[in-house]
Amino acid sequence: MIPKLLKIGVVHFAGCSGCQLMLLNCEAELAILAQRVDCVDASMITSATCEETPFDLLLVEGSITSPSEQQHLQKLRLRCRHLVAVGACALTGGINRFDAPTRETACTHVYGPVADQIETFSPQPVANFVAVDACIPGCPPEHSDFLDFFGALSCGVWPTQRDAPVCMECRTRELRCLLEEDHLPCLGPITIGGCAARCPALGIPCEGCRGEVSEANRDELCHLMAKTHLSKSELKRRIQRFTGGENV
Amino acid sequence: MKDTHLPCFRIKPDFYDALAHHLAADFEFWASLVGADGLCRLQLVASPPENTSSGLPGIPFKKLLLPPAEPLWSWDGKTFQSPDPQPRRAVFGVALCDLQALWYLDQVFAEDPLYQERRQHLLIVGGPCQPADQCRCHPDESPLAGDLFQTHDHIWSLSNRGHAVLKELAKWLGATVDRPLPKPLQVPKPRADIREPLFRASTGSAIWQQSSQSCLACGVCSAVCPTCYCYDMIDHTDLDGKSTRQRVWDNCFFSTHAKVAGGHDFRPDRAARLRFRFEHKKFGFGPLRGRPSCVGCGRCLKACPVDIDLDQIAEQLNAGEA
Ligand code: SF4
Ligand code: SF4
Ligand code: SF4
Ligand code: SF4
Repeated sequence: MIPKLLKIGVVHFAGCSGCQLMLLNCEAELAILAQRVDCVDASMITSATCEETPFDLLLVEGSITSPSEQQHLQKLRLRCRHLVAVGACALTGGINRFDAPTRETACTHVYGPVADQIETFSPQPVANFVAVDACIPGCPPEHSDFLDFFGALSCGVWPTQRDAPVCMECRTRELRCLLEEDHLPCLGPITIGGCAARCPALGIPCEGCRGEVSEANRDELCHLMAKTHLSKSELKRRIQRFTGGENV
Repeated sequence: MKDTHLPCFRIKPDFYDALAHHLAADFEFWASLVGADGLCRLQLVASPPENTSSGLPGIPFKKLLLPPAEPLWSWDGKTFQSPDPQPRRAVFGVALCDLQALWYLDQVFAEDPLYQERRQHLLIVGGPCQPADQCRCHPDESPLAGDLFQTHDHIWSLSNRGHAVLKELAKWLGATVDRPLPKPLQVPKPRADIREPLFRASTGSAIWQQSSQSCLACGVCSAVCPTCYCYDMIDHTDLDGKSTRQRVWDNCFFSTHAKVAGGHDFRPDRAARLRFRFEHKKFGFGPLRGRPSCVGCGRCLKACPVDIDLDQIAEQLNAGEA
């Protein structure tokens, strides 16, 4: 059984903190959320920190980029009952993975001459180091992702994990298909829905920020997107942006 | 319903004004309109359109009977609540293929109280259509449902309800005439069918693999299909503890569609899923087995980003190419 008042924490690794901000931005629901959860440690939400107490639930945002972060994460895992990976960085490495082909240059650029004394590695998803109990996708996640999540949790279950693509929501909203009609490089067919086709509704092709559906047909989408103005390598980078580097 | 002897009346000038006036007290009006972006949508309109042949709406009227996400009940910890009562809607200009699809859905959901309630609240007015390139209907093949069918100078009653409406408007009706419903002229190419034994024999055929290779599993083909009706049940709980169970459009191309507890998947790949969709569209299931559920509206063909064409597959199987 999940206790009534969940002791939660939000921990931040390499990322922009947008996920945490998005949670904080659920303004209309914060008061009621505060009756469900006791936020004991979260850099943007409370100045309290909690060094020892166990968490019922730990939300992890950001990707892991150094041995010290890795150790910190592993210690936290021992302190929490449930660990939830939140957002593209935590789930796949996110846009941080774009360091991949030019990592050394990037490090020298950021850290200067001491770059080789700082121990870092290419940004990794949280699940590469610890067991993950649930995922909240998005870059950043929608308000509804957080609210559905805490809603489900308040009855003691995890929310239903979606695997239907953005296209389904796009078509049920009766939006114009940007891929079919306008030959724009829309990633809707291979991206997990849940955003109600936020971008296509504004005439912007889906960027894939919610990550890939489980059986994404990348080859065919690349083939289709060859009709757009993008070059092969641009297409590849577009698909890789939120799904983690080299697996395309 | 056989349409050979449907009661048909010539109409007098102002009939449509009188009809609109008669219905306005009880009904919202819905009709298909082409938007500035070129898409045709079935939408709420202020008054029934004068010209009814605006083409097929991309998402068919099933959205009014089986909305994409429909609450079944909610529970606030103390009491169950039924969904809000449905508005009464008069839908104008529904093409023949969609009237056939309505008949099909009516059979499938004959025992579904929510569907039936919504259905009772709909008054369906058919209208002539202009066949488009992808149209593949068989206008004479299957029964149709609906209440009225209108052209600029005649009106047919298709149901008791339609009949009752016309009775109220007798003043604006002229002579009864013996006239069949206007059928779409020159449908470019009717739907291709296939015999079931041939289909059965195709189980291991490479054709399913080949044809499904390019499928993105985007689900669009069944979202737009007027006779696709699969749904999933999704529970949602608010922070204040109110739970709602919804039925949400599902789709046999989705990875979860045939997955069962324990992780087994009855249709583990796109080839099996395409074959399943083909089977449902060409042969139907259950008591309707043997009757295609595809009414040939051509929507899936038009909407599929990779042009997967069930008829082409049927033709290939028929030609022994598989
Ligand atoms: S615009 Fe994009 S998300 Fe929408 S249907 Fe087309 S491909 Fe899918
Ligand atoms: S299968 Fe395609 S052509 Fe047949 S009814 Fe459905 S959308 Fe129309
Ligand atoms: S099984 Fe597939 S083809 Fe049949 S209704 Fe469901 S989605 Fe449509
Ligand atoms: S519309 Fe085409 S690509 Fe999308 S699921 Fe249907 S057959 Fe596959």
